[in-house]
Amino acid sequence: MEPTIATEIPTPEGAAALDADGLDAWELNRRLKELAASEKAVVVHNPRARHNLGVGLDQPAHIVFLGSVGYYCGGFNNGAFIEIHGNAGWGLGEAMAAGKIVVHGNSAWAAGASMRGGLIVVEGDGGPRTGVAMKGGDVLVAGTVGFMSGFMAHAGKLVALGGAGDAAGASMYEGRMFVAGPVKSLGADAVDVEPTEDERREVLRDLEENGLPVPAGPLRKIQAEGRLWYFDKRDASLWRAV
Amino acid sequence: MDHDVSSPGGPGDLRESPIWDSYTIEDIHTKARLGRYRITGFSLHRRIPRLDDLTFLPAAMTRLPLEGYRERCETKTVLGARHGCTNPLELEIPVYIASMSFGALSWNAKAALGRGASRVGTCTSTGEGGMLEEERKESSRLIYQMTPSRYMLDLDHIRRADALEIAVGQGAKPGTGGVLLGAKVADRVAEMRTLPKGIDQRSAVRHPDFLGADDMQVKLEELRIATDNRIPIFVKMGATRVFEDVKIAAKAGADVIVVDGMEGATGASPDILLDHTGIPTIAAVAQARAALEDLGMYGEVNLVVSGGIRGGVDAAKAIALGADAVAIGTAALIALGCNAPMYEADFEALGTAPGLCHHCHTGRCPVGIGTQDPELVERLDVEEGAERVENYLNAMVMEMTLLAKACGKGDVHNLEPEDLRALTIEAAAMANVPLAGTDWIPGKTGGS
Repeated sequence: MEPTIATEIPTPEGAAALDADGLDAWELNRRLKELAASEKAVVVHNPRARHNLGVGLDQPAHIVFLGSVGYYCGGFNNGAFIEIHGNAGWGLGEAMAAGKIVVHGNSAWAAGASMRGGLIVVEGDGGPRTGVAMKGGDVLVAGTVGFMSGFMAHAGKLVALGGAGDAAGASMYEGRMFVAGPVKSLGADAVDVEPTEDERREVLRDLEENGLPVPAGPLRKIQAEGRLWYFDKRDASLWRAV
Repeated sequence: MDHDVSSPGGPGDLRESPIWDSYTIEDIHTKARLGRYRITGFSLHRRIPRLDDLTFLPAAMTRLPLEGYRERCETKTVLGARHGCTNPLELEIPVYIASMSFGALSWNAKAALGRGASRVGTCTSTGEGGMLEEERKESSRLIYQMTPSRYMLDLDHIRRADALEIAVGQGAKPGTGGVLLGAKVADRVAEMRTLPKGIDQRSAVRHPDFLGADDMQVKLEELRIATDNRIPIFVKMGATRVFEDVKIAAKAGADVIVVDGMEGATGASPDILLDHTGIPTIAAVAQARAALEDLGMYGEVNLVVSGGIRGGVDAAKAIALGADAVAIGTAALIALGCNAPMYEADFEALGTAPGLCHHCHTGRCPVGIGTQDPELVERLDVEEGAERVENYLNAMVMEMTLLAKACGKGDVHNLEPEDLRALTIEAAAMANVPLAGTDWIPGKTGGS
């Protein structure tokens, strides 16, 4: 899905400005943390897809990156609202516990990896392993998600409106994956079921609250069948197959 | 012609086949019943070259020994100063408690290890199950281990840690993830790991958000930023292609590299991995040192060695071969009371006996260490366990300094390969030290 990146980007009123040019990731994060502690909003100019931006923020500040970010943006986020006007590299919001991250573009490999809480919204496509090892929180993707998305999700909710790649929902525990559009293949131990009415309403409410469209086609739920949960010989054929 | 129907050895020939020995026959019978590989705890069950195959060369005429009971031998150990973190890990002794999870171990075993280690000024490690508050409280220094499963990974926890360890593998079962069978996935363990209670958990083996060295380099920077570069970062690996793996980890930016030899134990593993994967600690430490020397980083990147370190002798030998410190797991558990001669009926019910038990995987540990069963857990008193761990660590240090002083060293870290000779050709080749009585290192020197 082609994300729409606005040519004129609305920024929060009264936001502090931080120019990333000439700053290394250390200095940039140091200044960002300082500003996040004292300002309601910070706009970061020229992020230039550098890695490790906005890591370990534990204030509820609104951080806006005017451009793409590299790996692990918003890693360990614990309360900040991070907006990215561009694309995001690997591990967006990894280990996040609280807060919100919105990508007005695509996210690469492993967005939301091992996150425990909070919300990630991707307005474009999600890469492979989106929502891998999630322990909680929500990931909403307007487009597709790549192969092995939801892999080993212990908990949490992953929604993809444009379909999913191979091995969707592989080897999950109590993670829930909701997909509209084609699913290339299901992963090990993943089953495709009809969501309950409550779950359908829950997903539609999430989409509406985050400005994402109502899916055109039917919404399916992918969950674990539980055949990889126990080390029992009755499931030996499944172990061999995977 | 008469057919000889008697056995070649004559009547009553009960010779065991070296190929189809009684263990192999029992193993096949068991797998034919189970339909899967076997799971076990503890360590390997085969003879391999090990640190026992080395001997020290104390001082005689070429060197002066130190007075064993009257002169000081330094044991203080600083790990992880490479990248200028504010608080490198300062240990009073070059031994710490290896990473073992809450889940594999009971809460009170973790607390006792922390209390005992703290009393001698060394650290413990969370293992993969997340940060247990009891352990944090008892441990003056605590390494937070980040495994591929990332259970309960949390900003607050990494900021409360005294070091971070990215685990990419372990010696007992390199190339595979952890195993925790359902009996141990009790309420609190399940909650900390965000798992359904009672499932047989087989943890992930690859980290979710990095694959190779380039990604790891970025990941290490992320962790340093998240912790304000306050604490060092360790990378732990099982000993396999040690020379190459250590170089990659060092170049990626690890402050401390932990190499865990194939003797490394576990709470649960497919048994074949224990006996048939990895290389022995004696070889691993020599290769790790060679790798760091090759990069010109020996002494800059710290090296910790674990896997079958049973006491001060093994620790001193590992340090002489190149380690800055060693980590002990099984030895610490045995000090706590693992395999102690008590509750013998319970050992018998498991089909084993004190001194021979390797049934950690069952969750029925009779001495309350490798279990989550509340009744069994109660059998381990935290204070008594801590005292035994403290005593054992002190004994280890006395053994180490005894050997170091005999070799003329005022600091255990001054022990060096030259202080060792090998008792077997295999050990000489693996440890890269001469065979005793010769100057021969197989594959290195000519033995003239």
